[in-house]
Amino acid sequence: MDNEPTKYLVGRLRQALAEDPRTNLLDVQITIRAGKAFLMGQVESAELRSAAEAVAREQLPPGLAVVNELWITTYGVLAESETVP
Amino acid sequence: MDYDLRRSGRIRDSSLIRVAAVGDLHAGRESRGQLRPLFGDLAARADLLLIAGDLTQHGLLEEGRVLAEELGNLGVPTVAVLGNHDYQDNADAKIRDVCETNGIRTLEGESLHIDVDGCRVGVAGVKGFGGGFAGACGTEFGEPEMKAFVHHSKQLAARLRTELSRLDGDVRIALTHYSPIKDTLMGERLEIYPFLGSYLLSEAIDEAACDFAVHGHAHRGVEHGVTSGGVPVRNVARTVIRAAYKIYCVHVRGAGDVRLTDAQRLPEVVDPRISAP
Repeated sequence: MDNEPTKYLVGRLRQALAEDPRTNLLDVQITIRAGKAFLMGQVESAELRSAAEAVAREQLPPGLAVVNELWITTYGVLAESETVP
Repeated sequence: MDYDLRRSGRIRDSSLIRVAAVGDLHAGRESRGQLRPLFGDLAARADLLLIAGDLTQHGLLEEGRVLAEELGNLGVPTVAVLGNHDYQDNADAKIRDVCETNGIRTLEGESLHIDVDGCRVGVAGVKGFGGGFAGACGTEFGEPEMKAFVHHSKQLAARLRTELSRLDGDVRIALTHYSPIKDTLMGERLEIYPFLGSYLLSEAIDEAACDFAVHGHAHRGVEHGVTSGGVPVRNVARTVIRAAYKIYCVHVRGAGDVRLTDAQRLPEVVDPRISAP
């Protein structure tokens, strides 16, 4: 497991984040560098952010630290509109 | 199936229809109470609201109920399609029902017309599917699984084509979850394009000479694009528009001619090199 190539770890985690009913996240950016796995991208809630980290910890080798850089998106109301050509 | 919705009683520029749109809301249990405040003044700002799929995160009926209660009965005709997330828990039919119960018309290869102060706005909606784009797309060849994948895409594009052909409005809009074009996928990894959309949707949109097309699904894509036939396309995934919704003002067919006075009209130019047959 410890020697598993990084790209397979990333692939497995990507599958898990999409398929795990706690997450169903399809577009988390996963980068493994210098003994750390970085999770990056936007999620809709704090629950999803925590769940993604939990799934990553379960899927990745224990020696690999998980850095959760997922951010929770907040949306405002745009004042302007666009006139479609 | 045709639905008739009516919207009237407001003062606005009659040459434009104000279409609010958003996709990929991915509502969860925690979304209750979070969405509706963002749409509070929508009825004053827009003539209709389009939701381009992925109403829910996990495809749970409970999430569908949250979304429907948050965005239902906003005082503006609201039309949605489902997205791939809405199928995850096999509750798509129930999610659709709960949306309909709350006044969100949910189109699955169907169309409707909305009367906006006498202007007839037609919307044809379908989830759509992947398959890829012209020159790099899947075909119904080989294993049954591959055939099924491409067949599903073809089937939904055909549904869209049929419903678009039924539209007779002054404004004609195509609403999908999957993308009909590549333009709006810029920013996504090229390798996943076949899972983000299908050119078959675009072909149907062009054939019907739509006025406007809206989709979601491509979270990392860009907002603006255009079909080969020149139909403006907008990717309204919430992560793309970075707002609760976006309002697009779409020209009413023929309204430009009505607006011009005789003084504003350019004199007709006859090219002497072109002779009548």
